[in-house]
Amino acid sequence: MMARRPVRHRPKHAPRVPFALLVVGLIVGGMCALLALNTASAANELNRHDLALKDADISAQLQQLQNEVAASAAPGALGSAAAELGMVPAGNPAFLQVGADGTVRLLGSPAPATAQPLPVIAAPKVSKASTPSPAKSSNVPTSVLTGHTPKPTTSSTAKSKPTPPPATPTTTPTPTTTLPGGTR
Amino acid sequence: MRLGSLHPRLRYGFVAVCTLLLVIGGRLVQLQGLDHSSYADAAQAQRVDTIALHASRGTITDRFGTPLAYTSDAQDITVNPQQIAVVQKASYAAQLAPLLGMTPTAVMGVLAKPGQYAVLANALSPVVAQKIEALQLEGVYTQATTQRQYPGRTVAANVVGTVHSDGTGAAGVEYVFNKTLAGKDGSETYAVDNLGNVSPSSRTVRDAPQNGGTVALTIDQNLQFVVQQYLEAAVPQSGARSAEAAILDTRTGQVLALASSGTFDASDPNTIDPNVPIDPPVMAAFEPGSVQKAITFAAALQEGTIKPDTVVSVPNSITMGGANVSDAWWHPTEKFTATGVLAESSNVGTLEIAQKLGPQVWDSYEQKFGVGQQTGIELPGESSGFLPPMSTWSPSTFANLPFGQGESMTVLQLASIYQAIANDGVRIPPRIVKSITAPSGTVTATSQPAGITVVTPQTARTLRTMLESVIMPGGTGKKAAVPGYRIAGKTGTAQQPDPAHGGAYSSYMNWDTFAGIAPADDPQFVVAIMVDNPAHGVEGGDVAAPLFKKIAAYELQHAHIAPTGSLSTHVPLQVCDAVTRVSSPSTVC
Repeated sequence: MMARRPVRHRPKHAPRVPFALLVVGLIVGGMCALLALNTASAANELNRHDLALKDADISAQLQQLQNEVAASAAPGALGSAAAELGMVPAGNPAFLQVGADGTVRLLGSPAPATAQPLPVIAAPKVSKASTPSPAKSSNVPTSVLTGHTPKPTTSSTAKSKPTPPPATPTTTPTPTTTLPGGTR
Repeated sequence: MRLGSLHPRLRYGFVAVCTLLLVIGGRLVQLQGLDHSSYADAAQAQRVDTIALHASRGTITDRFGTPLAYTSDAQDITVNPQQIAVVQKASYAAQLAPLLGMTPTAVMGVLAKPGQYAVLANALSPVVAQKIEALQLEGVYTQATTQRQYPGRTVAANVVGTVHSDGTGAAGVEYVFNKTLAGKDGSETYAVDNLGNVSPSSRTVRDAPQNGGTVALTIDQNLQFVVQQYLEAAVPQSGARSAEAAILDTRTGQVLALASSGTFDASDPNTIDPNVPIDPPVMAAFEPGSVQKAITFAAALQEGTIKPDTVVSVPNSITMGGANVSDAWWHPTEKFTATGVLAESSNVGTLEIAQKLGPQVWDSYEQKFGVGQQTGIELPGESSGFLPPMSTWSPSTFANLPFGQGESMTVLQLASIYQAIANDGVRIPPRIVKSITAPSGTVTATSQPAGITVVTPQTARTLRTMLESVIMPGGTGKKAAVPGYRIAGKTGTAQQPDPAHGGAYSSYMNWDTFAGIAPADDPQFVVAIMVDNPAHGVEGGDVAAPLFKKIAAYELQHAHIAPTGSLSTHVPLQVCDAVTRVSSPSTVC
């Protein structure tokens, strides 16, 4: 008698099509999400760039205004503005001192303010550049830093200096012998 | 028909493919393995950008926080003339000129320059630069930069200093505190696309810049301005070469103002005169003259050699060490009080008092008062002045020094001497920086230097009383009196050595000085003034004393110092007998 070969039933597979669709869907969805994220971040960056430009714009205006305020608040500018309005510096006022017993004492002498305002100082123009001189064009000469420190001289005659910085006192000059001026 | 043999073809094909693969594989190894770093670097360089983040320079303010120097953003406008068509240049000039504040001709001049680079304007405000950018002119470029602003211009410029074109400090506080003000630059590294936009998924490495700290000075900007104005007005009025002043706070030694005439404009280096020191109140020494008598009298009072009413018999002239010294006005031998010698500024009387003191003691007080020594103020180029060492004295040196000739000092040192007298005998070396604020906000106040006790408080008060007599009618400094207030001070008229006469003292060139304390009964501040060579050899009482009055009157109001209401006591300046009372002015007795 022949043994019966077991009949293998073909195992039942899960349906393939939905699985394939799921996988494709995940892939497509993932890629879409990735695309969306990338687009969004790129768009944000462009937005940021625009806002940064706007911010720079406003900062520039703010800076300009701050500079203008600082310049007009400077005492020189205030002085000129006051002078234009016809104001003059107040002189020294007199004071009324009220004592504990109610008596009033006058300290000082009241006088009206003088008519002439203070002269407005313009900065000295020492060297004129031939081209329009921007604020930062030239380096400050370093010799200017140290100034002229008079060196003590031991000779009896002071060295003659071409320019007039205050000269060193010499040790034995002829002091006020018979000179009329003398010092007070 | 026989087909081609497959076997050799397969073999040849196999070999061909193998060779191909070998080549590709070899190239792969070469690119990835051997040359990998250089390609990676090149790629990195292309997509990664590093920019320097410049630290912004710190601000310098006055004692109330008003900015004296600060940095703002600016733009340089440059052009590439080669990129601009010749026919376009005129229209460019027309469009740019009004925005730049230049004439169209000047603009054309720049556009006509040869080469690929020319600067059209330096340090324009960013708002104007944006308008120029909006014109979208080919070949015109903007370059970000910074500009140091000095809103006060000449006010306190000698103290604040200025910067080089590269932004580093060149003079004054800008120079001395450059490290604090400059801060430290940082950097930022990020990946960019071809348009320069930051790639959002890249890593940004940022090394933050450390901005400069704020330096607050002790200077009062308004007082400084007013003092500079008065000095500027006084110079042409008196025909002087220059004038300087220093104002110190009594209790702290802080410098409230440090001014000279002819100060440069800090925002314009072209106004700096290379022949003149940039900060004369600290750099330029002069012979003080009679203002220095305060030291001689302080020493004499402290040593008990004199009292305010000590009688001194004063002839018209005296011979000391071979030198003949006379008073500035002729008088017969008269009996002055010590106060009288000071008030009328008698050289002969002063020498008599100095002789009683002796040179050794006198010299020691000069040193305690700081003569011939730097104050240590935080400004560059400070002169120490000059006090001749005793070992170098000739017999006649001590016939000069007690009334302020033969030694030299700066106007700051002179103010410091009177600060000691005002501060009940304690000299505090002057300082000009109040505090430094780090970018984090931490404030470090400058510590007050240790006081040097020069004389006792009693001596200082007595001396102040004597110095009040100088300001009262009968004294040489009566033009310094401020109505309603008690003022103490001293005038000085020092002869200048005349270079044209081998250095002998001139009879008409003077340094006119004045130093004063206000109010005398409750000292708040001291003012020292020097006017260099006023015309006609006028005296300190006529030139420097009125300047003191103006400056002190302003500061008394500005600082809200009310008068105490007490009055100066009149002290006889001479011994008054029946004859003197009749012959001398009423102020003397």
